[in-house]
Amino acid sequence: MRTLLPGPHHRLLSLVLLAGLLSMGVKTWLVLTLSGLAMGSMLFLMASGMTLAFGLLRVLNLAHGALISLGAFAGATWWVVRAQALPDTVWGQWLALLPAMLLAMSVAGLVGAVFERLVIRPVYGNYLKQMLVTVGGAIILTQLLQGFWGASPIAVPRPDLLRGSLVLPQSVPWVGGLALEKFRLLTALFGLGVYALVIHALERTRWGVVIRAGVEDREMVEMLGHRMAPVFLAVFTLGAMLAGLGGMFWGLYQEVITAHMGDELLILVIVVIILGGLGSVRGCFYGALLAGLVNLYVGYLLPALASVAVVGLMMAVLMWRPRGLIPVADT
Amino acid sequence: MTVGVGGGSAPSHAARGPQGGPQGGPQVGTDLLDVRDLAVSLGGQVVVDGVSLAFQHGSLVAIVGPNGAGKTTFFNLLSGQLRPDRGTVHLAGVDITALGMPERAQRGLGRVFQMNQLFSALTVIENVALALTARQGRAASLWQRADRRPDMRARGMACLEQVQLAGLASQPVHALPHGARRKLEMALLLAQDPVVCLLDEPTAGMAVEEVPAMLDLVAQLHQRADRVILLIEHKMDVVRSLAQRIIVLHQGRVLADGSPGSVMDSADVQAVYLGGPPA
Repeated sequence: MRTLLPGPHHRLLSLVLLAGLLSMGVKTWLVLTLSGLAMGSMLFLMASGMTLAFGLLRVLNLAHGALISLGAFAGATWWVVRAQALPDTVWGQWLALLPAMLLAMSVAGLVGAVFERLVIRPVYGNYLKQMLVTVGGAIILTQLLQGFWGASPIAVPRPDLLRGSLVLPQSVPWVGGLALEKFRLLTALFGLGVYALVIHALERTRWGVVIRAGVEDREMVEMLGHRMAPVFLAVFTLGAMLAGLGGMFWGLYQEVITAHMGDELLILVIVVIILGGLGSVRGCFYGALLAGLVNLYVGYLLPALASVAVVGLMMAVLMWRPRGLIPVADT
Repeated sequence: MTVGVGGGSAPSHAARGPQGGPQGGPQVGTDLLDVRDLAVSLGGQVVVDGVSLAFQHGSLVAIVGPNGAGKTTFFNLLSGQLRPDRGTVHLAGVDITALGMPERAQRGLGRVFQMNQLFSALTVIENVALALTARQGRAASLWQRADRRPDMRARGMACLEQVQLAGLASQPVHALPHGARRKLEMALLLAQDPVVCLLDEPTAGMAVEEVPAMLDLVAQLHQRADRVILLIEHKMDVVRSLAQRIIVLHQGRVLADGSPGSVMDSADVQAVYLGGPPA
C-alpha cells in the first residue's frame, strides 16, 4: 500500500522549487524551471536504463555514455540526410523527426543487446571485469563513431516545428507575455510521458513485477522458476534504447553532437542514479529533475558554482539519505 | 547406508514437465529424488563429500547435523544454486544436474530458505502471484499482472488463506512481522505446488507460540501423497514430531540414516551430534 504522504523526494523537489522562486523573479523562475525540467527529462531518459541495469543485473555499464552518443548520431543521420527530402511542412517535419527517434532507439538498442550477450553476460557478478570490459566497449564504440563521422563537432539544426516559443497571453497575472520555448516544453512533457510509461510497465504488468522482484533478489526469482536471462536482455536493450533516445534529444537541445558527448554526460548520469537510489527508476526520475533544476538555478544565480552544484546536491542527499532519495526496497 | 521410507498412499504424479504439467504416471515405491556421489568444495574446503541418498514419493525426511555439516550446501546443490564438483541429481528419473534454478523449479523443486527471502517492496499477493506465474512459464501473459486476473487472484488468495494471511494480501511485505513472513514463504511454496520441498529451518526465528502453526503447514504440505519433503531443522522436538526418516550429516558425509528411533540410538550420532550418551 503506497502512502499518500509526501515522500522525501517530493519534499526536496518542493524545497528546491521554492528556493528558486524566492531567489529570482517569477518570470525568470518559470523560464528556468521549464528549462530545468526539460534538462531533467533528458537526463532521466539517459539515466533510467543505467539504473535499471544496475538494479537488476548488478552491472555498472560504463559504456552507457557511448550508447547515448550512438543514439544521437543515429538520429542525426536520419534527420540531417532525410529531412532535406521531405516537404517543409509541419507534417513533413514530424515525418522526419519520428523515424529519427525510432532509428536512435533501434540502433542503440541493437548495439546494447549485442553488447549484453557478448560482453556483459560473461562478466556478471564481477565488478572489476565489468568496469574493464565496459570501458573497453565504450572506447571502441566512441572510436568507431569518430572514425565514421570524424572528430569535429557536427551541427544538428533543430527542426522548425521545435523552434520558437509559446507566448503566454498578457492577461495572465505575473507571467503575462512570457515566452516558453517550444522544444523545452515538449521535451519536459515527453520525459514525463516516458516516465509514466516505464512506471506503468513496472507496476502494472507481469514483466514489471518480475523486474522489480529481480532488482531486489534475482536468485529468489529464479528459485521460483522465472528465467531471468531473457529479462536481463530485455531490460538492457530497453535501457540502451532510452539512452539512444535521450542522446538524440540532447543533440537537438545542444544543436551539436560529438562522439565524446556521451562520455561527458556519463558523469551527470551516474550522479543522477546515485542521487535517486541505485536501481530505482522512480528515484532516477526525481534525481534527474532535481539535477536539472539545481543546475539551471545555480547557473543563473552563481555561475561560478554551476559545474559543482549537482555533485554538491548529491553529496548533501547522501548525507541525509545514504542509499539515495528512493532506495530500491522503498519503491 | 540408505534407508527409504514408504510414502503410504499412491502418488498422483512424479515431476512436472518444463511447462509445469504432469509428466509420467503414478510411481509407487519408486525414488522421486535420487542423489549419487554428490560432492562440492568451497574455498578449498570439501563441504559435501560423496553424498548418495534416495527419497521415495511421499517421504518426509529431516536432515540434521552440527553447524558446518553441509546441510544448507546440500540443499543448494539440490536446488541448483551450486553446481557440484562431481555426482548427479535425478528427479523422477531425469538427470537435472546440469539444469539451473529456474528449470529445476519448473520441474517441481521448491525451497524455503533459512533467512527470509521475500520481495519486501512487493505486496503479499504480488509475492504469491510471482510464484503462480512462474509455474505457467510462457503461457502467462507478459502484460497482465497475475494478481489482477480473477482466476489467479483466487488461487493466490486460497494459498494465503491456507497460511492465514488472506487479510494481509494488500500489505507490502516489509510491513509484516517475522512470523507472518515465514508463513508467506510457505504460501509461495503452496503456490509453486512443488513435488520436492526443501525446507531450511522453517521455524527459525519464530516465537514459540507460532511454531505449532508452522508445523501444521508442513503437515499440510505432506498431505500430497507423492511429494517429498526434506527438512533441515535444529529443534529435535520438531524433527521427532514430523520426520519419518532422519539423515545426519557430519563434515559433508552421511553419518547416519534411518528411522528417528534408530538414528537417536546410534552411538556415532550421540558422540558427534548430541555430545554424549542418552540419559
